[in-house]
Amino acid sequence: MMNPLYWLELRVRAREKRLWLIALFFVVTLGIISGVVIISVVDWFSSYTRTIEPVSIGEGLIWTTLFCQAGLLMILAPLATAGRISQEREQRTLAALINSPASATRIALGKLWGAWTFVIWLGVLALPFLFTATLWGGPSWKLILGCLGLNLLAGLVLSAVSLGISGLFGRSLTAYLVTGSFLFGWIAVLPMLGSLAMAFNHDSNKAFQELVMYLTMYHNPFFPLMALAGSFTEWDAGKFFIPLAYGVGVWVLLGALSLLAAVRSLKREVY
Amino acid sequence: MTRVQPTSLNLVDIWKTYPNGIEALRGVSLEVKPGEVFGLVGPNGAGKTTLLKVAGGLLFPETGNVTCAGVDITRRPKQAAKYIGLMPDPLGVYTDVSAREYLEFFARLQDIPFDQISGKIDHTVELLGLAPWLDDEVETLSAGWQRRLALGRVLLADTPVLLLDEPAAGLDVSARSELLAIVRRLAETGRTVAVSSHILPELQQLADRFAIINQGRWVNTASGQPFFTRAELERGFTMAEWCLRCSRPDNAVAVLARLGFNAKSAGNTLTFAAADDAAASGALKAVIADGVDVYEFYRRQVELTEMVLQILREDNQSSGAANNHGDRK
Repeated sequence: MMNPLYWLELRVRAREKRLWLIALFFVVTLGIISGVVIISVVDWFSSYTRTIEPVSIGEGLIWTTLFCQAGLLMILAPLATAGRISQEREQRTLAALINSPASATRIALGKLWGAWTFVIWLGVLALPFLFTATLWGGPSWKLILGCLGLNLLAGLVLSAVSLGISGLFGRSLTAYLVTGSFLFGWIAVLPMLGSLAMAFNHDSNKAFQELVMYLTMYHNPFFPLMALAGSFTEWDAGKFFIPLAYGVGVWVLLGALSLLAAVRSLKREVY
Repeated sequence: MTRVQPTSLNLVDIWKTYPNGIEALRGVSLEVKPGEVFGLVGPNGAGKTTLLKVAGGLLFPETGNVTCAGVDITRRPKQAAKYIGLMPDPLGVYTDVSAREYLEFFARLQDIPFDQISGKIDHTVELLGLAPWLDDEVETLSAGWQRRLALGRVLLADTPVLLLDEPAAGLDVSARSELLAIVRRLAETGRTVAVSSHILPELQQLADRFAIINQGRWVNTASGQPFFTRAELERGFTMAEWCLRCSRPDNAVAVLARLGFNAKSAGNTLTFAAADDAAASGALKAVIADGVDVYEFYRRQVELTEMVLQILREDNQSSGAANNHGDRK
């Protein structure tokens, strides 16, 4: 039988006006950005070459869509998940959940799948844009699907992190603030610190530069996209294989630890 | 309502201190037997909710253990759900689903086979009279119906032990009486029920046995024991008290004094304690023989509220005195 928490999450989310507004915001934002990209590319070609290459429009649209999707997922996935456990404490429903045969793991997974379904749904909403963009040509479907999969995996990890943090707090607002701060630190501040470290030590050897990259950038949720965007047209993960594997490995580890934290929080006393 | 396997609930020497240092339970022991409704009475912050949460596996005591059907709940708190249904206070209901979805969610959570869920929900709905509100959002239901819905959630689990924390709080008189009748019927089907309540007149009608908790420990009654039955309560712990309304109370007091009764009069009603019915009857005969017109003669019912207030007053005074004594030391 379907996980009851997943069932409830779907029921509740499908009825939330906020969800539909988020989806509308997602589609409208993608639409506006796609329009801007088309106009910019056409304008650029008109100014310099006078011949418009459709493949350039396709490339521009696809990478813009994928990066926008990644950016929006990085905001929306935590928004949809942060506070999912603290909310149960806040509205005093946790006692009823714990006083049931459902294990803490089952409860946490139900909530995580509920959040990830939302992420997948947002991923699916981007498909028409990607499909339309491929009509102009550009990257292969293999590359597009690979990037899409990485975006969805990043969404899952961010959801797990948000869920784990929400288990630590009794107030949703605190959970939202801590999740936001953590993700901002991870996604924005850490790469900036890495860049500064490399800028201040530009004479240092390559090993140092590589170490900084491993510590601050390779595990960034945007990194795989950036790496793959470098190859532009074909799925060519070969040259980035180790950093990519490292980055995804860190994600999986972080996601697993966060899920464990969520499960443990559900085993704590319910005051 | 289905009968269940008789299961008793045992708590032995439970001590529980909250992280803020408050000692919520101090060596509390309790046994609730199958088919019994146990009434837990005490002021706010006395430890009633903590006791029920410890019994339900939601809080872990420092020492002592809770057993139910031979399972040590303190060591295996997740097992509590198999035997114990807990209706906490505050309730904590999901407000953004319909009453039907709420019950369906908990039926799924209880691992009730899919083809039985609908039947179980219908049965619970019929029992609690929830049918008119089934498709309404929980948020729109009154506090009373939300309380019934929460009880429905507990009943779906069909556990042999029920722990109800303030089940009648916020309900109007008729809803209270209906809810308490349902609880009574649950006990009649062999379920073990522990109820905490501040609404003592209803609790007096509902529970078979009571105990008063104050500052995390049981308080002894006049009998020297913390536990007392409804019969003991209504009869009086030592001697029953009788009331006599008559034409010449002063004469009646004098007659009773000659017989060895210490009667007190207030207006034209006097009260005296008699060891048994025969002694009371003899006193009445003597008063009538003295030419006093008797209008009314009855055994005074002891109210739980009155008794609890008196016991708590005495307990607080004695603990206050003990603290003062300790301070002086």
